[in-house]
Amino acid sequence: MEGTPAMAANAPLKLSLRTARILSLLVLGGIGIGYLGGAIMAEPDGTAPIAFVFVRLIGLFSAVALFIEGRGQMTQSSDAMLDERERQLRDKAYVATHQIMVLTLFAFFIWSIIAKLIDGRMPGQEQALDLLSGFAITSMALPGIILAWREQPLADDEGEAP
Amino acid sequence: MARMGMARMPSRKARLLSIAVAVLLPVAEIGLIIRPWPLSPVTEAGLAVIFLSAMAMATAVLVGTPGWRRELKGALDEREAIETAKALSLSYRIMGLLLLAFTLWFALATRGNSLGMPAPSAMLVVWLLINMLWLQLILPSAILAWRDDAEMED
Repeated sequence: MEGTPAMAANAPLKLSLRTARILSLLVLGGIGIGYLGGAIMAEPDGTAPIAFVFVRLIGLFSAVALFIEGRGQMTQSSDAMLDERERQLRDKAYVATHQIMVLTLFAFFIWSIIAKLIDGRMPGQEQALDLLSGFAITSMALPGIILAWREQPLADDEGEAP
Repeated sequence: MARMGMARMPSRKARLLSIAVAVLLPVAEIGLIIRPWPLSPVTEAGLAVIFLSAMAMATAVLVGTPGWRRELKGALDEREAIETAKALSLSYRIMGLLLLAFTLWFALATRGNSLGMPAPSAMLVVWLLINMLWLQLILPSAILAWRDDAEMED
């Protein structure tokens, strides 16, 4: 589809498309397994097992890297900082993020109805914070992830950008 | 907005209903969920009626306007597609900010709680996220209705 946006050239961190895509998978895996898995497999006192905390950290650091990377920076830019094509790319990523988040919230809604019927499956205070954090980080990271997966790989896009 | 497929709700009606939902839904939810004061059975029933009315109005706006739904290719002209994308982008930004604010508030109120905030229950988070779903379903429609100057001038 689209090539690398010009906006990415001024970003504090420049990553190749392949690295950005690997980081995006780490974010989704880290948040999904670390936060949701940690909430499901929580200890009796509500804390997540240490392995899940480690996975969360991987997801979080990957999210931060994607956020300050060119594609992430583009999603945070105002209209005045982008040209017409970049604005369209950013808005398309926002639209897709909105729809994914609505579907995720709907899945959560269905789960909450089922969990209410099955005793003891509703989240405790610790799990509730994990859920909220998972939703918040995912919604922040998704536009950059979508841009990374929509970008057309260039023939010489094999390593890190100079 | 072009009329394609099922008839759409006029912008004026969508604006009025979105205002009514924005006023009635928080009133009913604060009363029924947060319960800052003890409720008599009559008040509780009244709030339940307000809640159901607000949900009915929200559903009407949701069904009657394109909102967050993905339209068929060619169903929207260029201007409409840009306006829809802008409405969805704004809705996304509001969702992101609200989720961050909720997370920060919940973390502060439950971890250490040195600020003296009342500790929220986990059920409140479930309700917040369900309300976020409703907000995100209605918000794009409401934004589109408020930005649709062409139809209001007719």
